[in-house]
Amino acid sequence: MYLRAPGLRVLPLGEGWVAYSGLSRESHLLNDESVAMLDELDECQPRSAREVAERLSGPAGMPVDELLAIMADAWPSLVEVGLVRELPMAHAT
Amino acid sequence: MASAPVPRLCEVPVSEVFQRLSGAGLDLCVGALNVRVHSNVRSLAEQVQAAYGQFPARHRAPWIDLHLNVVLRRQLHRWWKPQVDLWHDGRLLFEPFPAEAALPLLEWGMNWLIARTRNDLLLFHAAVVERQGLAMVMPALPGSGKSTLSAALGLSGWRLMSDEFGALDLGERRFRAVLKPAALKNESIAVIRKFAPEQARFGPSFPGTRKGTVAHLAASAEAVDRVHETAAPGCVLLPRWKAGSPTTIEPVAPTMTFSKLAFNAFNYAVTGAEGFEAVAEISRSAKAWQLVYSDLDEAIRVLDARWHGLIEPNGV
Repeated sequence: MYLRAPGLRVLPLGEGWVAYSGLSRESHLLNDESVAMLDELDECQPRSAREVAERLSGPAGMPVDELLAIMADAWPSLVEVGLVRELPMAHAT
Repeated sequence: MASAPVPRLCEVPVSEVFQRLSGAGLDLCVGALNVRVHSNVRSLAEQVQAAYGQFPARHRAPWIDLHLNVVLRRQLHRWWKPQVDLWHDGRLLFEPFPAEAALPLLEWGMNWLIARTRNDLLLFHAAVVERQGLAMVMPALPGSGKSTLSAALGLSGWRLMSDEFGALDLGERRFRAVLKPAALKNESIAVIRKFAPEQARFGPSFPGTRKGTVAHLAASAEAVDRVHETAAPGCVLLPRWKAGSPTTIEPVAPTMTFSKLAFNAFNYAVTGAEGFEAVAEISRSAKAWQLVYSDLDEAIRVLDARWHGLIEPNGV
């Protein structure tokens, strides 16, 4: 289960995005996919990877399982850099 | 009755400079901050007079941000190997320097303290020059040639605001000057002497420092007189000196600009979300360019000729 990090700010910049983490106080350049994932998260209401994939499936026009596979690589990076918080039960998707 | 002109440091006897250093202190207003220097080192008076020649000699600042004291070290071998210490607010900084290198110690310490203490400003490691109220910011790593380029621009009609600190006021989103002598190293010293033999005023050369030979280029009278004038972000220039290269200017993507600014800032992490938003705004609104050059004169001509194309039509 994932939460959007507190104090997260995401801004469009040219062809990409920049994000600031209130947790790590670091900034990162992001691609569209990562920003879409962050947009579907909430600071207080945890969501599973499957829930996020389901919410993105329609706008992206992709099957949920395919999105889950794409996002699987991104979650650890987003957690590591402090843009996303992972709750203990996060492995149950 | 017209008031008498305020004398500059280069216009008063060196004995007066030393009298101030060893007495009430010599106040230097470098723009974003005021520094008061005390010292009992006679040679420092000559060095400061040369490097800060255009600064007012008898200025008393209404407040002081940094109190610095360069002191001849008391030790048994003082007479055959004199050394100097740098003190700040009663605290000893760094290892001692040879007494003849008092100015590099003062400059190094001042830069170190500015970078560590002025967290009300977002401090980019960058040179900044101004034209028509707009700042051209040159963030770059040491060795990129930014000091040489900014020194040459400062001798070519642009106003040098700093060769080391791009000091962004986070409230006003405008750059403030941190005007100090440009510390040129090694080959750059001869390059600038050749570039402007009549105008370039240097302090003494200091061979054998950690960065090789260092000499300080004095700021111009105009830059000193306008030290309180701020500048809106105009454009970002990423200079790179490359032997034998023709002069080229290529646009840089905003994400690259963001990286160059944020990762070349002394206190980006300290300024938090405010700094993030300021860097993002500059990266979004100011055009950014990569300049590659080998011929300094040609680079200056190109920047002069293309200035209006380098900046956003309405500034930032």
